[in-house]
Amino acid sequence: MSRSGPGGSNGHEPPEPGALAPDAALPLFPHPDARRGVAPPRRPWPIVGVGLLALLLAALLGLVVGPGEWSLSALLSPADDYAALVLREVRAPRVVVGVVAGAAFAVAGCVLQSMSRNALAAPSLVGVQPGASLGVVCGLTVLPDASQATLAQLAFAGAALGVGATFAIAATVRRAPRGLALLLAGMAVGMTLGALSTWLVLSQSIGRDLLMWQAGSLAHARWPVLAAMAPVWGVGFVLAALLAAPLRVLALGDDAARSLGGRPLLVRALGTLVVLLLAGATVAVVGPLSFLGLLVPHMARALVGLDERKVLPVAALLGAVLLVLADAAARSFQPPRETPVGVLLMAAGATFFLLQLRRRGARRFSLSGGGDG
Amino acid sequence: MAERRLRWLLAVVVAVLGAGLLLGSVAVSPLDALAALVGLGDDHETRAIVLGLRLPRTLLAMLVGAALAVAGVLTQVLTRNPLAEPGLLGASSGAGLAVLLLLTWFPWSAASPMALPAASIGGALAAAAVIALLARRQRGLSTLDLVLVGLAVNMLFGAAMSLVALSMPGLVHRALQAWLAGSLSNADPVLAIACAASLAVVLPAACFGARTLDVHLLGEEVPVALGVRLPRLRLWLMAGAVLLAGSAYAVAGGMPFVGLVAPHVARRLVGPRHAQLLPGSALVGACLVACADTLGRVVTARVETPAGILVAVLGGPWFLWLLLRAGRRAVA
Repeated sequence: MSRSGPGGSNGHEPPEPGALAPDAALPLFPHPDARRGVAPPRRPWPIVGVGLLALLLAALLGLVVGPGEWSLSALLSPADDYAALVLREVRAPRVVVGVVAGAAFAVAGCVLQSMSRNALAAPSLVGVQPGASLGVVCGLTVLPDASQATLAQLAFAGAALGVGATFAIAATVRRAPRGLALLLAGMAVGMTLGALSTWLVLSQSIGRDLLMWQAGSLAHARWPVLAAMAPVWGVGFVLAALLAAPLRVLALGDDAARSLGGRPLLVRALGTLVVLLLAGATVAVVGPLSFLGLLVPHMARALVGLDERKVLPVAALLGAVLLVLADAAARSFQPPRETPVGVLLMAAGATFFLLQLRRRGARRFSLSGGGDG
Repeated sequence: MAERRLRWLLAVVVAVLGAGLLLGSVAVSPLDALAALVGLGDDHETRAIVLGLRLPRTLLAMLVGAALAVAGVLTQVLTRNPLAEPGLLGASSGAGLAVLLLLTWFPWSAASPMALPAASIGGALAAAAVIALLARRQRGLSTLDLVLVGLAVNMLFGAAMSLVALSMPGLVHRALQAWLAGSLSNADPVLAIACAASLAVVLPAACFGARTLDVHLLGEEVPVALGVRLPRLRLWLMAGAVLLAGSAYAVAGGMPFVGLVAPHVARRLVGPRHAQLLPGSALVGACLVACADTLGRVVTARVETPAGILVAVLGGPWFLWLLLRAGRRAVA
């Protein structure tokens, strides 16, 4: 019994009764009745404009907020006094990394949710976070005084291992919808890697350091780290932009996409690569920030609808603004102590998301576009 | 085919029970264990170990595993999402936050055997109530809202937990970590009654309504067309899942992964129809947690490794292996 929507059928074999079919594909041209009672998604340009403005303001706020009184002119002045130094070497890279990392994680989450048509998909579920954790834990075990740069490299290597293993296993899974296979493989790989790292943590008592890393923080963002990871992020963003339209086609289901000339396996492979590049690099530098990968795509979809070509840029802007603001808040909450930014993100973002949900209803931005229950 | 697999699983569970009785820091030979079980044999020490310590503990582990696995199946049916686990309905984060607040405000309560379990059940129910209220639409619980609201509320509670935990002294921290890891070493057999009672009520009821559960997976319109009363069904599913998960967390702490991976392993073994999936998941969950607990007692010399960690060690590769071999059934 396959779900045939007005725009096309799901594309893969009909599930057995009782089988957990993944959320059905959203037709490209929704039947008028399917959106009964729901306002059509708004055009993205006003939102993008507002988003860019918000980003600029957030960046300025991020530069200014924090212990001490700095004025912006210190940023541009060639003087080498302490204020200028702090602004240039500490705050500015922090804000830039915040923008890039926030956007990267949000876009990675979008791509993954599009590929798997699952509302619960997040980069941490395809091996990025468990792999990176394992890398960091190994690093902390073997080299207790490892520098941040080394830890970042190890984290990225771990993330690559996690995602690579997930994709390899997902490719060999038989008789499963491709999107679901990726998530299931990610679950299995994630559990195994997570168990390994937890074991290491418990036996080596690195717990506190790891907990701080797991909370996520921009405190270690400096220009060298940014320069090292910039190519990775750059390639990731470019690939994601190129994949927006193919992902839209993939939403019809693998078979239908193939008949339209798409190449589902290639799109999924590239999509997984995007997730690794964007999310892996971000986790390596900032630590895991699950909220950005999981809820920001939903918020973006609530604003502009389901078209990936609109959702990706909006999600990137949302993620960037949220992370920079959260980081500024983290610095000003209990100075000079820093509250982990991930925690603040989750608290504020989840509240905001709940309000949005109550107001608009989940039907508005579900990946399946089904009727009310 | 599925029936054969179920019987095979049952045999595995019995074998795991046997292993749980035999393995441990004190070696017990199979014959002595059998004699102790049956009531013969005059070795009081063996009898005390086997009957007094290992049997209740292994049975408790199986109970917890079965409860969490069935809760996982119910959650996945309710949300129609294979990534869902009982924690999505707030059980684990609510329980965890309640436990943390209790440890923070009354640090001595860690010693009392009843305080933490009571807090965890209360927290689980409270969190689930919050999610249910927020996910309510005109026609009962909405599946989509449930998933997203559950996500958001879990994040809120998780953020609250992190904020509180990071500013707490190390002792509270460690107690919370121990609770989150999930362990049966402090399990009180009295609580087993609550867990067993909820399992005894929910599992047969769910098996009785297995066809309805199958139908619920077919979407939003089909069940209604077939006469299923969706709002009531969803409420029962949620209540059953939270009850099972909450009582399991009360016994063993926030044991992760079982509710997520046991249904998937079972689906690969016995197929997706709930008439077999429900008992199959219960058996898989029982097997996983009992194995993990036994291993935890054996593998490290003097200190026990919490069962929750070993569940991931065992369940991950098991699930991985099942994914890799050429399946004869669709995984969905």
